[in-house]
Amino acid sequence: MSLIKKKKSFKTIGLRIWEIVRFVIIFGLAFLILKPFVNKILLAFMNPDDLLDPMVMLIPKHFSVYYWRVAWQGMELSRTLLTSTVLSIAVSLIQMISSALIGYGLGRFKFRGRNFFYAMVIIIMLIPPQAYSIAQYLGFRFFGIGPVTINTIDSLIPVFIMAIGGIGMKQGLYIYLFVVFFKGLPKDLENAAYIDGAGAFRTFFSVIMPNAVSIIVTVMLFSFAWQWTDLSYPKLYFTSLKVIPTVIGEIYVRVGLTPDTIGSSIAQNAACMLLLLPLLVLFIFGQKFISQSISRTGQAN
Amino acid sequence: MAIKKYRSLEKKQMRIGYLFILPLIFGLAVVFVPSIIKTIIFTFNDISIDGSGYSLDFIGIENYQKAFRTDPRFIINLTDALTNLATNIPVVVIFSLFIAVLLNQKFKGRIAARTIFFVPVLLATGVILKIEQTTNLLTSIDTSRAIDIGTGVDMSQMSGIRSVLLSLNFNDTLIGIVAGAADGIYSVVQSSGIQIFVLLAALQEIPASLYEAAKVEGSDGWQLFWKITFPMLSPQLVVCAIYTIVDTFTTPNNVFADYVNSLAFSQNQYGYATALNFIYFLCIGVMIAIFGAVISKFVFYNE
Repeated sequence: MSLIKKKKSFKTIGLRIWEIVRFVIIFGLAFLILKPFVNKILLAFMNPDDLLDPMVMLIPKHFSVYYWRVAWQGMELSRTLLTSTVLSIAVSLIQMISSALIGYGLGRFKFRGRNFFYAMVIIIMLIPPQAYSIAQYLGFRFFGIGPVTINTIDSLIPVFIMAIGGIGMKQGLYIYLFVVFFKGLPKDLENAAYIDGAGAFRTFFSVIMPNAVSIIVTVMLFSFAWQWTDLSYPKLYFTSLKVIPTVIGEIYVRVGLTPDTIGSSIAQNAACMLLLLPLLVLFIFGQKFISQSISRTGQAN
Repeated sequence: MAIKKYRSLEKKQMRIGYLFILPLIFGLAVVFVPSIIKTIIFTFNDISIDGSGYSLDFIGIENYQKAFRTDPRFIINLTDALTNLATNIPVVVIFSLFIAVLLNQKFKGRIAARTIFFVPVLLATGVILKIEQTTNLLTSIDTSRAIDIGTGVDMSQMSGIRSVLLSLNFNDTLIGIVAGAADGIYSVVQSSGIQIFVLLAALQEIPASLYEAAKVEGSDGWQLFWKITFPMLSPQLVVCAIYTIVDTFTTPNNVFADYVNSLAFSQNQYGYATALNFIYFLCIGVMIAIFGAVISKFVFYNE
């Protein structure tokens, strides 16, 4: 009797120690993740004197919103903010819809070549876009059939076409997530709709999609966030068209200030924080859906 | 009769399946496959661009010869990128697995912790990483603060773990590895957000009945992990490893990608740059193939 008790108390002591270790690890890493952001937010409020003052570590002595204003003006110039917003919202919508369609087709239907197309999705995810970016650039530079070509560079067309075709940025991952999710959904959902006489597409939009809200929000959030901060596609496909990520590097000079390293780095920093602001808001609202989709993908397996 | 009807239903199902993946077929046919084929053709050509189009000038394997024989920077960049990758994959995958298992346990503030670990997925991407690199003025000021005026030793270079290991007389290379991992923990955390997400989702897929049965049989936590969790997660671990490979290539601070892009877009050496990309991708492909061959022995598919 006493032996069992002793063994049990050992176990609880072990559990307690593990709890403490776990807390230290998680707290430490959470600190590591959040600290740079707190740092940068405070940095953006500093003025150059604070930055050079060795007494100022975190809290700025002279609070100034000057650089926030510079960053905001730079972003607003020549419709950069508008272009960025339109691009990111449109891309996240298109990517979500096409990935959901493809994911549903691959996850729910049996047809010849299904495995081939699924393998292609994995390959799309595998091959880094940079590996074929030059050919792709030229393909969009001279887009068309035979001698009739148009130049789609410097418009939003290339990015949209890729998003529709399921080969946009990181879209292999989204399709994969949808396939896993749809595979796990109970079959009864569709069967009921089929018996009621609904077609496959009707079923998809009015029965399946409402049941997939969590994964839809997750994918749209990923897609928006990555497009919003992406530098690689704008650098490749836009020249005179500007989005926020391409102007942040030059934001200080862009508003007509004379180049100055310290000032411009504070302004860049403030611009980054402004860029992150909508993402943070979206993330706080979408968090619930993300954790839901984590616990729901493939639950029915 | 009934069988015939069933067959036609199956056929209909097939057709509908094709309809759903129509976007993918479009993307593959119009952009993806042509790009890949063109890429392979480009590597054997010299490309020049003018207003009305681009022209190819067939030069055989000259691009490849140039890469391995004359270009002084290519091999250095390539080996750097590949060794980086080889060390990165196990660190990121093991770390993600560890964190995913931690976050899957029940404790107070679990939701908050999951949220925080997810933050890098959204925030540490694209331009923000790039700016973090370029505005190193701010960091250089930060480190200059860390210089100990008395001794002149740069304290920021001497992280705590390094000095502890030094004082314990450990091997230099070992110190290098451990301290490198400790110093790089921030970048590891930053690049393992999605992997944690995928593994966490997979962890919840594992039926609780498996654990219950094992517990009844008297297994301890260690056994539960190695006999149930690890085999059940193995397919997702492969996905994570592959994702890490791709992610390392697409981060803006990849030296190799920068080098290739500068060749292509500032010096107009499209053909040569494509060849370099192609070699790099072949190397990665070989790495994935070897990795896949080794790992497939351990992967367990629960179907």
